Amino acid sequence: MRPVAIAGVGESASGVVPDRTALQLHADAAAAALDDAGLSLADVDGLFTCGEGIDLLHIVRVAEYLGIRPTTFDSTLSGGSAWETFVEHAALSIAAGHCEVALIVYGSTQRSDMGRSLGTSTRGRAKGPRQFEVPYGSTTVSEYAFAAQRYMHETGATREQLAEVAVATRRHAADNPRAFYRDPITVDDVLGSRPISSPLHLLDCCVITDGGGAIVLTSLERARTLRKPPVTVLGSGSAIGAMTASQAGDITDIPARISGERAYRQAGLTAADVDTAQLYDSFTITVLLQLEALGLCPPGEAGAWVADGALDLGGALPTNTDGGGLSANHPGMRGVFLLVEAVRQLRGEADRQVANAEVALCSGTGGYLSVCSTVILGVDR
Amino acid sequence: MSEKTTGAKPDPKAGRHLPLPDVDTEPFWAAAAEQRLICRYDEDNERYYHYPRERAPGTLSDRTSWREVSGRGVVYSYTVVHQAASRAFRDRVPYVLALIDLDEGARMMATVDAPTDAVAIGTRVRVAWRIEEDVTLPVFVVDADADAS
Repeated sequence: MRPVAIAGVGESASGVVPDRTALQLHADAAAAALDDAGLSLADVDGLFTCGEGIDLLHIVRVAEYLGIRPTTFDSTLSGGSAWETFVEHAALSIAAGHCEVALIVYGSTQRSDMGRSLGTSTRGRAKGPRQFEVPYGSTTVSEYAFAAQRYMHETGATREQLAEVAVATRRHAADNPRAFYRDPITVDDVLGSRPISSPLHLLDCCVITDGGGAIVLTSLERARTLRKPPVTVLGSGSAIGAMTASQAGDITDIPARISGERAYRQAGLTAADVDTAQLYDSFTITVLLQLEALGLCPPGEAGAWVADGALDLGGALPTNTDGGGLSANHPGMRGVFLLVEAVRQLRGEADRQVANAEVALCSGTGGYLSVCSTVILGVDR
Repeated sequence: MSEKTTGAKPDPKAGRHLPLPDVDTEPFWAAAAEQRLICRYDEDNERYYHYPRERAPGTLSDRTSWREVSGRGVVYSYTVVHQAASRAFRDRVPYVLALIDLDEGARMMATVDAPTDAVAIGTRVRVAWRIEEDVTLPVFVVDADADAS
């Protein structure tokens, strides 16, 4: 099995982009990533993408729109973690010689399509398992709120400590010119923002934006001949938990524990080796639960650890250094942006650079802490 | 569709939050209409589970049955929802939504009809019934007897 690397990353315009379609954002991001790698579209023989609302056969339409006829493809719809799972699947395909150049791409105009609704709208009659959720007024935020309330109960973490995640992430966003929100916020701002589903308030929740992102993978051998320094895929893992909190068992023990164990094992690394983390931050609680599940903080102490400045530049583990979903962008699903920022950190070209970063961990979560995927990336040496 | 309408135009989305029973779930809603709470029971592993599935999750055994449960339980976690899920809930906010561990072992999500400061993790609750249109929904209330004991 040959080693695999990320050769290119790219983003489309993000924020509010009412004059672009979602497919254009796919194309913009793909073009940027291919240009970054010094590859052309004709080199691509593998396509990895998923999405909702563009067309019935999303990946086929995206391939058609881009004008490629890939022979390796995967459209696993596992929410925000899909892009980390795509790295896993693309790396396996490339390592086995089944695929040469894989394009992982996403684009969405969620912001312009629906405006800011925090995903709490509900349509249609409640069918299937949802008939035991929808009649009670369950929302996306309330699913995470169950986990937050339980985590606070079990560990003594406080709302102030949750708020520190949003505050630290906003500090990072200040240096990212593409971030949706860049003005500093305080813990009091978070606590005083409108309650959505207790204990989560508005500023505990990610933004909703438009945007697209893409990455290009190939063999490490080939990547070494290309435009940018390769970033190697050291390990990956994915794990499904349960769709809804009532079926999850211990709701604070999220599937990232299992996906992380698999990724660390493959990489031959431990949490102590990680220089920077890009953790899916749909909500502030999502970050604390991933820190715990991935063993990145002292067990049960994620709240105090974060309040102590761990996530900041110069802290114990600079995290979500582009401003994350809480401040920078969140176009429906943002797993691809975790990878884009991690690659930039390992190349030394980030807006808010972590000094001497050699190992980066990306942790995607999908659904309601339902499914997780972990990718560990490293500099080529 | 043949209903005559008078006065205000009916809300085309009314009732859309209510359940659509299927072959897995119809007995649950039929029992609820009689204000009885039933759960699926896995005979092989001697455990209750919810939501209802004909085959037992984790084994796919078909040695399962319906059993009536006490309707008493304890709050595993909860949230006070301030931003409503949909139009149907707009006039209900803030409302308490909880994960309830029934004494028999199954976990359910349901509303707790209680003041927002009356519910915490560990609060004892018991089933109550809310009738909406033609559906009887199991909801929960704080179990005052349990709290007193």
